[in-house]
Amino acid sequence: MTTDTLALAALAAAAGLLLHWLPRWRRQGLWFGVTVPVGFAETPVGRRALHRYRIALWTLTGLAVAGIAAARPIGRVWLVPAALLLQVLGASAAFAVVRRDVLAHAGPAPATRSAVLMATHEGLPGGPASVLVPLGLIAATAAYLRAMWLELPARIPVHWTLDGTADRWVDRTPLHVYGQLVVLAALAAFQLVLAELIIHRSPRGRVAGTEEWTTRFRRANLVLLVAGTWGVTAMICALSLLPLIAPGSAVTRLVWIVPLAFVATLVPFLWQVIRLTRDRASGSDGTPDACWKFGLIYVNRDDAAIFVEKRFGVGYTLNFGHPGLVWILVAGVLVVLVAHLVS
Amino acid sequence: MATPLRIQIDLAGVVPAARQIADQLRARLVDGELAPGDRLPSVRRLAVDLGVHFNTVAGAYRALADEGWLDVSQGRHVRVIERATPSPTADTRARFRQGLRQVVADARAGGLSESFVARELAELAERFQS
Repeated sequence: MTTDTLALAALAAAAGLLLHWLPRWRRQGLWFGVTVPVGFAETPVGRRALHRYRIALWTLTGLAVAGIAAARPIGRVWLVPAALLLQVLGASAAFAVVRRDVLAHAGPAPATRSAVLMATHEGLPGGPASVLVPLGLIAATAAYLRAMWLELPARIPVHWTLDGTADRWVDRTPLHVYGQLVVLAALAAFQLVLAELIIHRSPRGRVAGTEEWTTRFRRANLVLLVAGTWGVTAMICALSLLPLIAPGSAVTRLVWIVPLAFVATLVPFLWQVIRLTRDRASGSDGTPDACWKFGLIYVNRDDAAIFVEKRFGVGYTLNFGHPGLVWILVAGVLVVLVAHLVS
Repeated sequence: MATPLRIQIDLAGVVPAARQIADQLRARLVDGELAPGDRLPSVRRLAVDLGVHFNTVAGAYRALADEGWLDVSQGRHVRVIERATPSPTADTRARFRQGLRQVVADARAGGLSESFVARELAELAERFQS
């Protein structure tokens, strides 16, 4: 088995672990995307639901690992993405099926809504630095690459194996050298716009009694998003500078540390979000169960929010019933188009 | 730090959400908790927080603007303004009496004692006079 296959199998196992815990990372008044009384998850019905989901998940994870391991020996490389896709889509389907059973135990959605009556200003965590740091880093990297243009090899490595050996190259052209930085700038800007939209277009504390928890949860998510933007920027900028280092040197052999460092720096921020979900004061989110399709997709035309908290996993998801959603989708498509054009 | 002023509505109640918002805001305006110059959240912000449609909040703000409490003409900003107290008409007095009778009847029908209702009304009257 090659190191790449092992790494992919490890990735599938890690995804399995993440999906294993995902249903537990939710407000305490929700279980499998259904409004329930706090403490329902610990009842026999609640535990049985989780057990069923996990059996399905680990069966799918086993199949995914087997698919990844078999892909190269039988000459079917497409099996790798297919196996990973099967795992994620299958887990989502298992969640939806289990949710259907939990719906029979749904409690009434909290009808008492609460809102602050003061016009307050809320900005991105870190203030202007949240925008200036990633964009400045990209600009500095581009400037350095321009200054070192003649030091760059005629063929630039753009992909490395885990042991630091380059296995894909492109010609040294402005498009190839600066292209990924342009995509990165578009991606960073898109992520920061999403963070701004979460600030202005997601509820600050909808259900009475959960306002304080919601405020802390929102902030923790925004910090995670900004930290993720900084992390991705630092990672891609570091990789952009790698062609300046001689192939086979000690630094290139340690290339695998770059993505690992990125993931490691995000863990404390993610942990902060997850830790909050244990708080019993989290209650429910105030979105009607009937507006959640399969417990995953939120569609509510009568809700002015564009972003609402996810019911499967931490973070925020879109309100697909909101008329303003089309602009976000257009921006997302533009980022993908830019990435495609310069790659 | 002072607790921020909040509004609370019951979506399962019989009173429409827009009416609940307008009533609660009016009560705070009358009590002086909201004073001229105070800025209120935009229509969009309040609708997002409460989980209702924009029109629900816009309707409540418009009703209060028509009564002279709010200025909603400056784009997204909603501001409490100085309001000249109108001269009460005979009709206003009649509606007040009828409303008060209705409140007392509801309270009595709900099982509240005469002495409790009387005490509450007296307390309210005392607050007005002080």
